[in-house]
Amino acid sequence: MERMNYKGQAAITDALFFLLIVMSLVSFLFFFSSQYGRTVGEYSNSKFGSDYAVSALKTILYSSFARDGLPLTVDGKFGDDCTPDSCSEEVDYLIAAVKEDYADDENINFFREELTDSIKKVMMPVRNSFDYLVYIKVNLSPYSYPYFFMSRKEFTSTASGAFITDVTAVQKDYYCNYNDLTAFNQNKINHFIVFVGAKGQAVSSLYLPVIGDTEFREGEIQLILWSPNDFNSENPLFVDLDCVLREDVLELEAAAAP
Amino acid sequence: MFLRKLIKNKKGYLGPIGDDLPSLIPLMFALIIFFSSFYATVNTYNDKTVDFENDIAVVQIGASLRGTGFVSSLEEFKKSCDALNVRQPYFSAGLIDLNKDINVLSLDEDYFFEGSDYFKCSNTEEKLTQQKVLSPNSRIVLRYYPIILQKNSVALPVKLVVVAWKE
Repeated sequence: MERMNYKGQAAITDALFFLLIVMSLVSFLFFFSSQYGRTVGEYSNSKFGSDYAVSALKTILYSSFARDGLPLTVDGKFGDDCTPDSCSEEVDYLIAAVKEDYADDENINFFREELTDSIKKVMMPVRNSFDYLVYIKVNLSPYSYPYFFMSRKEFTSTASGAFITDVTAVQKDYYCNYNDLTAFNQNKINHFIVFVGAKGQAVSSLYLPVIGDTEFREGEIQLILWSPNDFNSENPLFVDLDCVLREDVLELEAAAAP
Repeated sequence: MFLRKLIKNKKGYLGPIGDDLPSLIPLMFALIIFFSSFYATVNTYNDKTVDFENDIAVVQIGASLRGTGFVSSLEEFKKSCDALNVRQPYFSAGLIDLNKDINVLSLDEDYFFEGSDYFKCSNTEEKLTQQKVLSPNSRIVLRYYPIILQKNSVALPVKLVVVAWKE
């Protein structure tokens, strides 16, 4: 009779235990649904970054450009409407012009802007997703970097009290190693790449001729992509790269021109 | 007197069903929570699986159409396109100008480069604008890849756009 009196309490205890078990299962389900596919998603994005970098580098190296500055096509389409007056007849591979440019003074300055414009054009479809840098390294002792371009977004935020109300991003283009510092080295580049976290990287070997030298210089061109990062331009790893805004470089060079 | 004695002896006892009524509340609560979580998890699983299938399809289509990253003719492009055997998801791919922005919901042939025909590859017969399956509610994956298109003596940088979708 006494046992019968506690029957209700036993049933509710069982139900509470059941609830406890169910809550554990529910927690597992929530954990599973939030984590499921995360690795695959990250891999997919990383694969895209890597595929894009490889395709972009190949496209930059093998694309044609007009030595006379005329357009290669009309209205972005191929067609019979392309006449010698409106389209260039002096067509060459961009990389051939870059090699030619390097050959005279071991620097890339004459076709630098064409190379930069071509890089920017190829990277345009992912300009909102990635920041990137492209550099040419020549295997000398110490290494020489005749071309080093970086395009990155700088974020500015507007705050109202403790809350950030608006964030704007401005794309900025830089030429790095501008002063050709002897202290500039691969370690500084590597540290920067580790800091920003590369999402895609492609490299291709280059053989650069030099006038007066019978042998080609071995080198490489690298393209590295990363997700936009909100470090500021005072960041020491960025400062180490000795980057100068592209428009400032063009202004300086225009002022220095005879 | 008898009733009072009975009540005293069976304190808290409301009968075989009535006695278990309070325990039914956490029981029902647990079942509701469990099945709603299970339903949400299955939905998330299915959604993400569809996304992965689209992602994988886009990667395969992109890799196949890019080939060596150099398209020398429309015939070569069409050959790569014919080699694709993708039934699902629906996709449309083609070569377009690097500077051209696209609206995937009205992606018709005018977007694509043309030779004797358009540099377009799709597993749908009709134009995309007529495809009822592509709607703002479709699960769309869009990827771009830069690629070289050889036209006469000019190697033009263009972009290969691949759109895949499922309802």
